[in-house]
Amino acid sequence: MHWGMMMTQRDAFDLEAAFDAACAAPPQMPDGLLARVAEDAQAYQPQPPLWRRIFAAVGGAAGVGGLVTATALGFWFGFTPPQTSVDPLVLIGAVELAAEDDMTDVLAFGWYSEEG
Amino acid sequence: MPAQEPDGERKEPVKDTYDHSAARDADAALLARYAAGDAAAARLLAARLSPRAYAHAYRVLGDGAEAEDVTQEALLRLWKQAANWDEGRAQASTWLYRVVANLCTDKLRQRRTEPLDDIDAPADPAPSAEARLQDGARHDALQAALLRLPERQRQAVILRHIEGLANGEIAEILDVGVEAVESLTARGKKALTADLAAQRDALGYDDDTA
Repeated sequence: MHWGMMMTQRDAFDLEAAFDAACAAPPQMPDGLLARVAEDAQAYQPQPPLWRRIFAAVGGAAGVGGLVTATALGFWFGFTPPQTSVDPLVLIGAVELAAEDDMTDVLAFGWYSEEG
Repeated sequence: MPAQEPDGERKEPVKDTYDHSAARDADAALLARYAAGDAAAARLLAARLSPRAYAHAYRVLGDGAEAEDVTQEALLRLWKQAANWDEGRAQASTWLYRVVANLCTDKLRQRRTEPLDDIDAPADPAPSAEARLQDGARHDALQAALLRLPERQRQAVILRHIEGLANGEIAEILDVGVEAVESLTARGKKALTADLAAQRDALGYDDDTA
């Protein structure tokens, strides 16, 4: 009947407003759907190779860097030990360096010192 | 690439409430992490992509239960493809929209054996009732009018004017040319305008208030 009148700019504007309203209020997913989708995702997820899992388990690049440094240092000490041994008890101030001989009982290396 | 390419069509306001370019990059990164076995990426991808898939399926089908089936099936196909995903082949969201659109077409074909009245009436199952109340009268009227559009026009109008995708991406999703998308959206908008105006006239629905 009034099609000419109805098909005006006002109607076009109204359609845009309706699109805006639809855009602002998307249909909400029913409860449980996201959980089911996430379950599927985990069920079909490719397993990473073994080396990558180990890499991740030790803390990634930083962890591997620390392990390499510690290994290299230990290897180095094995070949060329320091001339003056580093006693952790001395470092923390628990005993005097000169009193090492008195610590044989505590350190349980007395048998070695006595025999030597 | 900007979110909205001009596509050589006449200028018209297009919603840009979503940064599609940034979203695509994030989706691609998450998909790569998912394929590498990152469990957190699986949850994040599900949370990012499911709502978009469900929203499109619901708007096209007007049925919460069917939209749920389509969403789960579409994402299942994505998970299965992830290990062999070729990033240069397709954007994850475009690929997903395409699968959703095709699954919706299948659902609508299945319905054709049912009486026409059942197709025309917007289905209103329990899961969607709350959402419909939230959307308000104008949105309900739009949804009902969308469901009366021919399927291809409906998909194109929803992707363009509600999802806010560019015509080039819609062409890829619907497997047609950009000109066909322009034609589908133009005809769809014209039909919607006439339909909504007729409804407002018939129901005394004042569209100025919302």
